[in-house]
Amino acid sequence: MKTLIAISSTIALAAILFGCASIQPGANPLIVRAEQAETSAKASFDLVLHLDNSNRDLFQTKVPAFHEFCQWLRQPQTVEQTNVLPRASAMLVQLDDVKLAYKSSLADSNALMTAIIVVETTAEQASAWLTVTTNLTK
Amino acid sequence: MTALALAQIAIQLLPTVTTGVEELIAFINTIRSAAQQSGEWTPAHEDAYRASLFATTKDPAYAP
Repeated sequence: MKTLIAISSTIALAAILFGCASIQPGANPLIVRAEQAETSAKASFDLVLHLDNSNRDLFQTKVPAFHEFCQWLRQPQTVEQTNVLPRASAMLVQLDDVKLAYKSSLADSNALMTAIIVVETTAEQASAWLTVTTNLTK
Repeated sequence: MTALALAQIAIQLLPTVTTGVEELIAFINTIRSAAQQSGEWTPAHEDAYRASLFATTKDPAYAP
């Protein structure tokens, strides 16, 4: 059964990603990667936070580490000096700011790459929690 | 890595998910569109994305 699921997952994944576009001429691959990371991370954070919010008491009891991770994502952070946002959104605003600075030649590629890695790592952690949570609450 | 890995995780979750299927499908569609992105965002897309981030302050799921 697991093999069947793995095979069907691979086929579905191939179908979903079939037609992945190559970078258009003139587009900066690092900026495109940053924007892909921003989109993917926002989707991951949305999913885990809405999942946890659907029954916070349950997750706090059955998967406390997952709930703590979500609470960490929710902690208010100050960005752009005056705006207070949940950490999940603040991280993405910071990445977007670095990306815009890079586009304006005010930041170097190392700064942008570092910001991308921070966001991607957190998004990967969120996705890993999805797998753990789904299995633990079955 | 991200788009590919996230999509794989989402697909592996599909058979086990009983609630929140719509959110999971929306997540997959977003990952798919990210994977297929070939050019830089337009100014309108940039503005819409930033607005969606600032709108999370009103989303109960993002409230501590």
